[in-house]
Amino acid sequence: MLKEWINQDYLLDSYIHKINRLYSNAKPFQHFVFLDFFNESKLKELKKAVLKEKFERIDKDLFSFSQTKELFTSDNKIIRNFYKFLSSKEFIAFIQKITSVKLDSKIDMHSHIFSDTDYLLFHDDVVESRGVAYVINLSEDFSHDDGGRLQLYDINDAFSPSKEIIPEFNSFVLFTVSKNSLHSIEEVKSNKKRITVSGWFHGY
Amino acid sequence: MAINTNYMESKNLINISKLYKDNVPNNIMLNSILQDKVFNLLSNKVSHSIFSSKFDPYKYRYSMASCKELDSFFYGVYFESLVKNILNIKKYSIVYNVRKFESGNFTLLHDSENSSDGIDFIMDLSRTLERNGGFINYIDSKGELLHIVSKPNSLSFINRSKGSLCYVKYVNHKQIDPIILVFGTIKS
Repeated sequence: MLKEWINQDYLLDSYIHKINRLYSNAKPFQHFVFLDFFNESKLKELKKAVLKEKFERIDKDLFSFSQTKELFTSDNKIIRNFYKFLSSKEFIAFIQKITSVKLDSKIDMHSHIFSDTDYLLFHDDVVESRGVAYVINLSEDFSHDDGGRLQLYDINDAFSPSKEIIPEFNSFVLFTVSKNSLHSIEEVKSNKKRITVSGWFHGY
Repeated sequence: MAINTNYMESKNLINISKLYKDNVPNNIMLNSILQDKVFNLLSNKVSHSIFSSKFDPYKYRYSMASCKELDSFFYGVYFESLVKNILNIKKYSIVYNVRKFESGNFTLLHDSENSSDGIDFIMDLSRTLERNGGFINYIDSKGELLHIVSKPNSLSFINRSKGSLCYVKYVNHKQIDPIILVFGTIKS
């Protein structure tokens, strides 16, 4: 099942071991960015399917963006299959090997669209059993000047981000949720749409 | 400091007080509160003050300044007349500060912020009408109570009930000139 969905290079034991080390030692907190992670044609299908979902506009003090309902409830077969894959025993075992976080089979999954001026301010994601956060980037041609970067902060020096991750198509970002996992989504500063599928793998 | 003379006439103040009481929650925005010339001088003075950055990722990002010239208004007879005649408060003390909001600035709802009841006032000393974010929302556990888009040279009074909180919406990249607001509380 894994070979069907993800880049096979990432499935080599030696590679997994190396990524686990990089993940554990990453600054400002444990994270890793996989590039070209999923099977590209499958991800393009997923993107098409997701964009057919209903997005609700939400404006709060902390954020402005558009969001789908929990994608587990989608009627779309492509989305349901993807959910099934992401919550499969094999894939969760893979995530555990990368992150060294003990996970159960529960995952959350939403899609978000950030348009011009949309943003998500500082937060750490700590809620109940969230173990590892994930972001699957579906936008194409995003560059530095478009904004929309995932920004990671050192909690002791949050004035400016320690790391900024451009939402490249087919990149897959993981980070361990903790009181240290301070992050934000930079405001989008162009007419491009930042489209993601994201959520959490839950832990014990 | 010369106030707009419309706000000195008792007949007008009675009407404004009625409007304030009729609004839910009790609130009123007084436009063109200062005479134009005075406003221009004051807003220019404030905009050239030395601002220091205030930042807590979970609470706020803006900059703050103090401006002695404002004391003569907020501790003077005109402001006292507004408080007495519109809010019907005879004895009170006030605290206030000047905050500058530029692109990327915000405040968040936070439980540790002042959630006791009282009357807030917000004076807008911006030199631009442009608003790309920077509006003020009051909310309580049931949802949004009040949405204020202030205008330069306006003074708003808001009767804040216990448990309600307010925030300044994130100012986005389209904002060119800063939004400068005086935030204060009247304690009776």
